[in-house]
Amino acid sequence: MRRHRCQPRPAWRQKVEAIGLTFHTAPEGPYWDESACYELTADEVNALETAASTLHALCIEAAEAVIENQWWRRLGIPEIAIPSILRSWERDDFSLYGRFDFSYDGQSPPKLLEYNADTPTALIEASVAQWFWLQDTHPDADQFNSLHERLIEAWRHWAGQTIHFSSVKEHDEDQQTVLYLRDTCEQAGVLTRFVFIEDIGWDSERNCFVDLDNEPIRRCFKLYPWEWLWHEDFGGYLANDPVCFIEPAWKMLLSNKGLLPILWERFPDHPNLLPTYEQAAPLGGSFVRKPKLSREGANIAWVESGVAVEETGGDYGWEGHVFQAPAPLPDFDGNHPVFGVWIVDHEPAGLGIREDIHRITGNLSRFVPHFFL
Amino acid sequence: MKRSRRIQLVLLGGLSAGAMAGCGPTSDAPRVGDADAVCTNNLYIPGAGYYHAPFRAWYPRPYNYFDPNTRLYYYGGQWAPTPHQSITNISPPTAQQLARATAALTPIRRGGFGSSSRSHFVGT
Repeated sequence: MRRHRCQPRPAWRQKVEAIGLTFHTAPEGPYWDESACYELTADEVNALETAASTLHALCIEAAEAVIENQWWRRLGIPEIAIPSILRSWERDDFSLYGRFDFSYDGQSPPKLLEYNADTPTALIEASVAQWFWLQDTHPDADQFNSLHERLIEAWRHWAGQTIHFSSVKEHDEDQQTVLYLRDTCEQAGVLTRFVFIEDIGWDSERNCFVDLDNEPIRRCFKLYPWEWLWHEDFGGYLANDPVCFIEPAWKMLLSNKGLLPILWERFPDHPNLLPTYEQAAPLGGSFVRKPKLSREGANIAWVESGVAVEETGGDYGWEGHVFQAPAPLPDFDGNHPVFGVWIVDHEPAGLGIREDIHRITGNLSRFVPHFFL
Repeated sequence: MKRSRRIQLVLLGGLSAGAMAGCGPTSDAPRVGDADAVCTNNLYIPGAGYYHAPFRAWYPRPYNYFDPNTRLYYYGGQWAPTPHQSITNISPPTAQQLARATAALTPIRRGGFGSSSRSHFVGT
């Protein structure tokens, strides 16, 4: 594995904007960063692909254990959500995607940091932007990226039907991500409609959610976390499954960092897992403390010998924490990459790499493209 | 070979702005009901309030509501030391008021999702 410094393409901003990556630059600096790229070997790509495939299966097994043992409190799942999760699990409701985040240095096996199984983002970057970057800069090289075709193929499950898509207002990244997913969905022969999360209505006569045209919402891709939906004013209406949501309710089990200690209990010393517990004690004084439901690296503390050497802010933590052994920290000229392996329709489908000069990957960590030979 | 062979976009890119703009509300305007409708004093509509016939509008308190603390009477959106005197106890609401009341009568409520996003990032 090597990190190369690169000359960004002329007019790269216009190029990525033209394919939907309008959020390429944050006020703090570049987010899409093609001044560098990662070169991997085929073996390294295979290691990441195999790890993701294996761990997806292990996560399903661990989720089954949660259900059998009724470990709802270990995951901080509200009582009202449990029947819906169980029905969704029994029906094997359709799941489109997720993203495993790995620490990986190319030497030791990839180590799972977390599974973003409900509302993963950085999709346009991984699927489209780095693919066009590859055509322009390394046309003969390969890339771990079949996301676009795999998404279209997965959506064919719903061909001829209508799916609503929903995201929050005033959030460019989320709206573009949802627009891209609609794009792939329509190419699969599915009719799509859009409604902002805030505009979803509840029709008390028809007992259904409706869009702004008062059309019933029967199937809905939501870029909005399940745990928020349950806690909001309309959460009570979800109990009778009025909508087939994508991602489905059972993904609450996989997207929860509370699953990490359960994975470690059931598969101790698995080469792709880090020791993770519900208390810090088994790890001594060095660990990474993560809220079970935090997003974008919020409220994470990196503790060494009892001292927090790095900590991020945020509003999470009320739901409880898990304590994970620190992963080996790859270092390329002071940059620490995290390898996000995408799962589409239960199979690995691509890779996106984000890097940061800090140990903790956050919402400002840069997306850097990759290739392999 | 693990990469995509061809990526075609139909909504993203140049069409993004138009595609999103096309998703906005198209028929969420209030449905105004019967233009000849008449309402009696204190007709209560949840979300609209109490109808005050002399003023052809809905208000948050009943017509000539008396507040024992201030010893004032409420009518037409104001408080006064004496009750309002009028022979009008039935009237047609103004078009604007009728639209407002009709909207309040709809069985559809909105805004029950999205509050968490104001303080958190959505994606992971």
